[in-house]
Amino acid sequence: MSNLAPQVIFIGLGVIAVVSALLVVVGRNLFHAAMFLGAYMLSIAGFYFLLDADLVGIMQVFVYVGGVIVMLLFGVMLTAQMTNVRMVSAVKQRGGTVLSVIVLVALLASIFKKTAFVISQATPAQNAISLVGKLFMTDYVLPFEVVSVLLLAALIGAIVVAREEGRPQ
Amino acid sequence: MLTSGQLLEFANTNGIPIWVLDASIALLLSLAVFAICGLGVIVLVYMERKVAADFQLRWGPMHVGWRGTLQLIADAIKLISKEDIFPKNADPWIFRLAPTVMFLAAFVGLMVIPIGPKLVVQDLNIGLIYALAIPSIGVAGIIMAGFGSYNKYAMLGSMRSAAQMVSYEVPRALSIIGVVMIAGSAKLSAIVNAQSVWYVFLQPIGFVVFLVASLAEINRVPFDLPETESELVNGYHTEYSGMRFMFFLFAEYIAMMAASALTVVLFLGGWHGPGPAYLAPLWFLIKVFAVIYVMMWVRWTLPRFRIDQVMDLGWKVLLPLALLNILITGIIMLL
Repeated sequence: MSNLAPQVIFIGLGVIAVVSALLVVVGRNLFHAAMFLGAYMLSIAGFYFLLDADLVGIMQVFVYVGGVIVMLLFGVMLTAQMTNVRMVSAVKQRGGTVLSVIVLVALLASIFKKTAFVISQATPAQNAISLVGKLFMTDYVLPFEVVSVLLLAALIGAIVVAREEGRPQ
Repeated sequence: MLTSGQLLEFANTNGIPIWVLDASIALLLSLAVFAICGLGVIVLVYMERKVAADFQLRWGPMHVGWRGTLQLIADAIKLISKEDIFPKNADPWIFRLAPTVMFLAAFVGLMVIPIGPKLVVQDLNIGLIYALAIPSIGVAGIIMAGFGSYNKYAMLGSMRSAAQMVSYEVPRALSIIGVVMIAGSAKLSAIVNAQSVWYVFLQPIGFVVFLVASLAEINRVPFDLPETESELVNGYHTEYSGMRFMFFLFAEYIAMMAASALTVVLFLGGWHGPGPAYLAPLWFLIKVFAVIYVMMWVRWTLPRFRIDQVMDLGWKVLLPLALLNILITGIIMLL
């Protein structure tokens, strides 16, 4: 009885995630697809919260919904004449599509069947944020710094690409 | 006061499942926060009009009720009874959902603000990140409003706001790292408890950067580019009328409340103040209203920035200042 509420929430979130993920792919309106992607990201964040992984969950909201989706919507709106345009793909490869979907489903099903789902008995870490911070500065300091350098390179790259050549600054 | 143990016992003896108890507590708390929001918005709009009038040597609303105190009730009734105009080419779902998304983003962000010792809906360990992350969903609401209205002014306004809010999120998040470094926690109640000296004195640069970036985040003057009346009619809510418009107004004022409450929690000592412990929420309220008054003061004193000036300020002034603040804080903590 005590497990009923999390299960109901889990199934609800699952339905939202699957339906919105499907609508991202099936929908013809680019803006709607981006919105459904946002709903999907939020439902994933919900799963993290359900698993007591609140730091990962809030980072999901921060990075994906607050950052990526907003950038995506921004990009859609910057595209000329995007309002009320229905995107129709000109390429239709039915045979290949059906084949790849069957292979994918078979692969996923076999993975699902072979995996032994072990539910960890460990209690969720309390105060995850300070734990993560300590690990970043001790055990994982090298990957952390490498990622920082990578991000810096991406930033500089963006500036170089965006800058107009030959224009006096 | 009921304790959680007594509640659990009550539920057990009466055969109420725990999830029903949890759900009803959550519902009650969110209703309470909603009521506070509604009341707060009415007070704030009245205050805004009176402060504006004061700065412009006018009286402000005077006719409905004593000194116009009932003006806002009248305005709300007027807005509810107005015709709901729906633009012909608007995207029906996006247009309808936009005010709700904006409102929810602002409203849910309030849930982690501690207004007194143990007086908080949900005291998360990551409360600070939550308070920064959730309102950023509101940007999506503004973009939805701009796109859904099928109106060039709304579109331009929402694009400006997206650019502005995404840019100012960066210095805003960086400016509070100094606070987290000194307090040693991202839990909002722990940050308040750690403030024997208000952090505004320990983190003056961080405070200024945070306040300016907050003004930009909630689209207040001098950063109200998304709704510049003189060039964009009304920005992203040009096509909205009646009740839907009221929701935008609601969301804006709630966001303002949340931003000033966060400022108080992080820099102005939260609920700390002289007097017995039960006065804590009162001190909190006084400080929040002081910050809001400063925001209104800024609004009715300063002219509006141009969009390129806004971007320059965000990236070339506030961001380096925020980074400098982290560096100084780090050096002082090491010494």
